[in-house]
Amino acid sequence: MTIPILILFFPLLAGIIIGVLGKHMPSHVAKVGVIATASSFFLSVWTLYNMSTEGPIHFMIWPLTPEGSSIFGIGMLVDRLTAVMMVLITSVSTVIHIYSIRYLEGDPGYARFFALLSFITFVILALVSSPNLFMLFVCWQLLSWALYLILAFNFPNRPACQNAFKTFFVHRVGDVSFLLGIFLAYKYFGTLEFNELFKAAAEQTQMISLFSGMIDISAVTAIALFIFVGAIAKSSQFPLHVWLPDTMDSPTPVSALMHAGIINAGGFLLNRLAPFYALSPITLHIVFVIGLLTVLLGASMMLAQNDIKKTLGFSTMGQMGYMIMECGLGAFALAIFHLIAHGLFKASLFLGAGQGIHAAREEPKLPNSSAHGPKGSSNQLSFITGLILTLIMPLVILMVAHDMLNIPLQNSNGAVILLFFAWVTASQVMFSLYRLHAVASWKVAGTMIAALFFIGFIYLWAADVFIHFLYPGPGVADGFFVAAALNPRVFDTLILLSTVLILIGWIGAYSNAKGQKIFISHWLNLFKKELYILLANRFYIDLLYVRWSNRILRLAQKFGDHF
Amino acid sequence: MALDNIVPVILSLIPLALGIVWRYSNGSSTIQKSVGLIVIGVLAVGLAYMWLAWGIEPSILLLASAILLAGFCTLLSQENSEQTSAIHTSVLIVLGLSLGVLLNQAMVSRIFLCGLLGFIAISLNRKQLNTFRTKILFLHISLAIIFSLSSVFVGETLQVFARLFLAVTFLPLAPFHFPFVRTIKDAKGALSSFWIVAWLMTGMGELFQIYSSLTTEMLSILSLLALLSAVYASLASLGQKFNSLFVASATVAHVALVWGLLEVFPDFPRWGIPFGITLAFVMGGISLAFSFIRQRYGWKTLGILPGLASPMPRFGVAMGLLVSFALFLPLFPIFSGLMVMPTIITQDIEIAMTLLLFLVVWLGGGWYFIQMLHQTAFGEARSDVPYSDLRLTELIAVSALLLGATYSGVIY
Repeated sequence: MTIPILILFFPLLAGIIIGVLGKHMPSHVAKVGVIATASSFFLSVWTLYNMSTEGPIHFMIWPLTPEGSSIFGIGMLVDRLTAVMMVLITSVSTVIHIYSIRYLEGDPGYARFFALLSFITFVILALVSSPNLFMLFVCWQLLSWALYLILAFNFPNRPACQNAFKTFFVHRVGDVSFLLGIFLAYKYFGTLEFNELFKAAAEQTQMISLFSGMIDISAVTAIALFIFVGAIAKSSQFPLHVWLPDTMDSPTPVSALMHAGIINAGGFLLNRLAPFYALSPITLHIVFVIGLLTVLLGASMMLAQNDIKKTLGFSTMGQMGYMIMECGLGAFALAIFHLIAHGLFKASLFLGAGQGIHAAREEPKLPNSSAHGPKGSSNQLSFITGLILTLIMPLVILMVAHDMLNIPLQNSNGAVILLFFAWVTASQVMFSLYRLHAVASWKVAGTMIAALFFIGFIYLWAADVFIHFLYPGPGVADGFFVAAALNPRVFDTLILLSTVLILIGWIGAYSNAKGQKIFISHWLNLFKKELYILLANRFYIDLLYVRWSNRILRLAQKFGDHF
Repeated sequence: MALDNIVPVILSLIPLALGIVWRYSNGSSTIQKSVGLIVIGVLAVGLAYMWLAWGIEPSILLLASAILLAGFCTLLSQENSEQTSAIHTSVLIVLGLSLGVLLNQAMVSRIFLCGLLGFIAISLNRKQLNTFRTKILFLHISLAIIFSLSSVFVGETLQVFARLFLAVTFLPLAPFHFPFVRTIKDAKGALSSFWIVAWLMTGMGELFQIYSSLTTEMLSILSLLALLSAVYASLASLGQKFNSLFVASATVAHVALVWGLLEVFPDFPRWGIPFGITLAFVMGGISLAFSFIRQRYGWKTLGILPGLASPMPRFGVAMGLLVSFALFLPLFPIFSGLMVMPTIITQDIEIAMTLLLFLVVWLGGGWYFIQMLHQTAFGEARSDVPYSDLRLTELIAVSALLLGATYSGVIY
């Protein structure tokens, strides 16, 4: 019982020590932080091993009052999901601590930064080990606030403060809904403890009657939807995605921590409540649609960016969309694998980007493509590579997955859609590389194809392993897939629509490269330009929010004068 | 007369008498501060004695203790200036009167309440006597005095209405908020902080006496009024230029939660009183922190003195902690209320109203508190101001209020 507590205790202690004594021991600040998080990392690894052999650990630390214990429960639930997350969080946090030693050297807020970093590590660890919705929500709030403080780390800088506020406020919108979900969960099922809640929700069919009984909605669906809005805000999903791309004024280690750790909170929340979500197929479909929209928005807006950190920000948004979409398809375990892979990948990218920017001592712009050689016409190789990546690879993966890994294709079209979206991802990767004129030689093309095949297969293998590791109970994971299964017609339409879109894209790109404007009429060119403007302006969603805010502020000034 | 009736009167009269004497004498402010702090210590001992000897109602004990702590913090942190003596005097008079309202019963309590209302009327700035708003304000106070006295003599139903009027005055809901806002606006130095706590604790005491008598219809109307009040006060806070009015409007916005949640959560003392005390301490703390800046630089308008966290790190930390607390205030009554909420079917409309109210206070608070933080602690500091950070006594005062808020909000 003691060791999992120590995993949380070390970063908390480090945060307090650095926060209180940091100014008196500047040379030891980083050491304290690194030692604490590294210790937590080793303990997390040990806990993961120990827990997978001996089973989950569940204990309460602080039931305040006997009658209030059903709400105010502070404790730990360390199951496989938590243990995996703890290893991820502590490993990323340790790396970021080490990276920050040199990166922030000489900064007047050096101690404050390390104190916050350790505190955030503690909060995320407490969040993933929460045994009930109350503690999870409290940690959720602390995380929002700690994120605000670290984003506003450079507080004399007004834009940084404004962006930190934007982030905090968007999270707060999601929190209202999350809290309502908790409120309803307690009202209808009388408990906030995860296991008890899942059991009660599965056994009792509670209905919420609206408008004097005109509309009846399942309590599980309502609760799941309300809580999902909290996840939408934290994981930067449409329409609460606006905060993520604007948080790049923060120090690079913060970006890494945010993109590798904090933003995954939404995916974790859905996974933690997976048995609850599996009771409401309609919620899973909505989760899928929101994820899908976020993928499309994130990926398309990414293409119109010329700032390397913002590009990475939109890329994260798209990846989070995938993760949420995976949950919507019932592939909860796969979402966790995606979360880990993306977290590690994106943290390394951000840390690398920061170094690159500092090395170049320039504005964080993408390298000018002309710098890599003449902007000549794309050769056949680009298109052959693209064709292999976007058309052949997913089909091969699909067949191999079916034969080798026994992914149930008939029972759950979710897995197929997932593979199909691997196809879309490949197209996107190809397009990005094409845009940068990176496919210039057989070596590059070959490496790219091999790497993507390798990643695809690893992904499938990991999916299989993770599903069995995280949800070892017989039929549990299959139940998620079945609950999330889409209507076959919707499924067919989605596949068809996406295939047609990809093909049109490729024909357009090919004809453009060859200088042939076969059927691209004037209006289509205009549409392309308009689309680019739309993407560069992020579909004007941010502008819309700003206008609403300004209207409210104007109204507020009138009220303020007469109060 | 029994001892348990005499002791509360004596405890209330000690600071009151001392305050009146100081008002008409020219004593040293340092001596006044020391004597005032000793008196508060004596009162605390007296309260403890009452609790041990007669088992005074815990909610009332908490409310009275909150007033004592606020008085202690105000006296401790008040810097020496021309106004110091007047502030010390006011603190002791209000302390005596509000303790008298809380600790005594029936007629005695009402007399102290009339005294408090009278003192409020006297304290208001007389420069704007002829405005329509001021006339309304004095009419409001006069009505409150009449209701206060008549509540002893009338029947039970009328008594509930009379006390409800007093409760919405002291636990201010729009449009009954004018006296509260004006008192906070006109208060000198650190006095505004003490006034906030005294007002809210008195209001809590009134609500505590009548909450069980409120009918379903009355609760529905109060809930609707609370929602409107929350919208109005939240918008007013967001558009506020002056620091004292900012605190007043933010307080009114959050007080709406108490009134709104009465309909959903039973057992008001379990969730409402700890929340009310936490709210009073946090808002009192913010007001106190503002008063430190006001005393140093004559600062009244938000936004003209940003970036204070750099040259005044103690102030930055204090303000950061206070805002942190303030941002999450709406969660306290929700979670403690859930504990006493029956899990039977509640009307949808009640839940919808609660949600809307929470939404307004939560989002409004998130916006205006952070905006205030950006206008005071964050941003780039001005170079033309001779900054001096908080003194130890000031830091202790703010910390004490924060600890009090933590105790009542989290632990209690």
